[in-house]
Amino acid sequence: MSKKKLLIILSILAILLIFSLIYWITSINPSSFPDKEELMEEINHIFPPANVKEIQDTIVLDEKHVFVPFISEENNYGVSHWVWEQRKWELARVNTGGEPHSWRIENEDLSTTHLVWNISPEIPIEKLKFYLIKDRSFHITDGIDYYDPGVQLEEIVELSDTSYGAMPLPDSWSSILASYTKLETARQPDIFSNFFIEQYMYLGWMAYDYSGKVLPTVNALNGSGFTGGDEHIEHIRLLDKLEIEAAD
Amino acid sequence: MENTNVVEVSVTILAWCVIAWIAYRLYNRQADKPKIWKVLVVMLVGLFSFLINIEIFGMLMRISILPLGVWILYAYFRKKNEEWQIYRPFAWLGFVANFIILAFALLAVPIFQFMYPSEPSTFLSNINDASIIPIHPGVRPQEMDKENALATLLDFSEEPIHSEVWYREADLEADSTNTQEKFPYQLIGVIPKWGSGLISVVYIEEDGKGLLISTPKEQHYFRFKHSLIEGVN
Repeated sequence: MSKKKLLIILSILAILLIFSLIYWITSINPSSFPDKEELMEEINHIFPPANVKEIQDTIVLDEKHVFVPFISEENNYGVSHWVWEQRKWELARVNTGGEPHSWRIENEDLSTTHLVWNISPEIPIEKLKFYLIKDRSFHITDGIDYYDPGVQLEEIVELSDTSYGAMPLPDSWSSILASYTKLETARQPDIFSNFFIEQYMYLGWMAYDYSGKVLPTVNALNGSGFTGGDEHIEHIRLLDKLEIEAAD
Repeated sequence: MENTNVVEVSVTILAWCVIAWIAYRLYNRQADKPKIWKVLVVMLVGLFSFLINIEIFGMLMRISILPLGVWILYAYFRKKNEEWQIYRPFAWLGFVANFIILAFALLAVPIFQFMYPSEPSTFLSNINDASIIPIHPGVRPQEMDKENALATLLDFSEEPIHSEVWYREADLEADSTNTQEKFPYQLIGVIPKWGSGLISVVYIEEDGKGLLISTPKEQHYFRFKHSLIEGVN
C-alpha cells in the first residue's frame, strides 16, 4: 500500500471517529427542554383529546425525566411525563386526570420512585396521605419459624398553592426499600429483585377533605390518556381507612 | 468489596491452587511434554459434567456425576490414540477438579461459622452510620444509644421465634384496625463484620432490647439486658 493510500484511509477513519463521538455525546446529553408552546403542540398532536390550554409548570426530576402538569380547555387538570430518549424528548405518558401515581425513573432502583399528582382546586381535597406498606406475615417451614414485621410508613402532603406536585420518596422510605432490594438480590441473584419486593410491598394513597374526612374515589381525577414507551409509571393503590393500621 | 465473603473467595483460590499443583505434577511426570495451552483447554473441557444439586448443611452443593467433558474429549481424540494417552490425565483432572472445589466449599462452612458466628456483633459490627427508622404508626422517632451499643450487643441470648403468636398478637382488637407491631423499628446502615459478606435486614423490638435479623437464608432473634434505644431502660 502506498503512503498516500494509507493517509487517506487514516483520515477517513479519523473523521468517522469524530462524527460518531459527536453523535454519542449529543445522544447522552439531553438537549434543552422544549418550551411551553412546543410542549402544548406536541401533546395536542399526539393525544388530541388532551386539548391543552395551559402548561402549568415543568418539573425536572432528573436530567432525563420531566413532569409537566397542564390544564385543558375543559378545565381538566392533567399530567404528562417526558423522557429523553434516543436523541429527543419523548412524551412517555399523558393523561387528562391527575390522580396520584408513581414514576420510577430508574427501572432497577425502587428508591428512584417519585410520587406525582395534579388535582383541580375545585376538588375539595385538603391533603394527601401517601403510604409505603408491607403486610405483616409469618410462615413455618420444616419447623423453622419466619416472622416478617408489618411496615406502614406515612407521608402527609398539604395541597395549598399549587394544584400539582412531584416528590421523591422520603429518605427513610428509600433506605428501607434499598435494604429489601439488597436482601432479595442475595436471595435470588439471577432474578430481578424488584419483582419480589413488589409482591409484598406497595405504595398507596388517601385523600382528606377540609373536614378531615377520607374521600372515596374521586372520578374527576381519572381521565383518559396515552402511554408510550416502557416507563415505569404506575397506579398506586387508593386505600380505604380500614386497610390502614392504627395505633391507639 | 463490602459484600464479599472472604472465606468463600480464599477457599476457591486455594482449590484452584491445588488443581494447578496437581496439573504441574502430572506435566512434570510426562516424558512427551504436551502443549501447555492444549492442557488448559483439555482441563477446561474436562470440567464439564452432569451435575445434581444437593442441599448439605443448608448449602446448595453441585455434585458431578457424569464426566461429559471427558467423553467429549475421548470422542475428539478417538483416532489419535497417542495424543490421548498424553492428554487423558488432564481430562480426568478437569473432572476431578469439580470434587476438589466441592471439598473446599464444604471446608468453608465450619471456617465461616468459626470466623463469623451467628451473633449480634457479626451482623452489627460497625454502627457509626446506623439510624433507627420507625416503621409502624404509634412509635416515635428514636435515637440509637451508640455509646453503649457495642457492650449491649455482647450480652445477648438467642431466643426462639414464635412467628404465629407474634402475628396474632399484633391485632389488638378483633373488629378494629388497632395494631401493635412487635418490631416497630428498622435499623438502617449497619455494617457487618469485615469479610463476612453478610446481608441482613434488622428490626428492633419496641423496648429496644430485642433484635430480629433477617438474612437471605434464615432469621435470628436476639434479646439483650439493656436497650439499644437511647433513654429507654
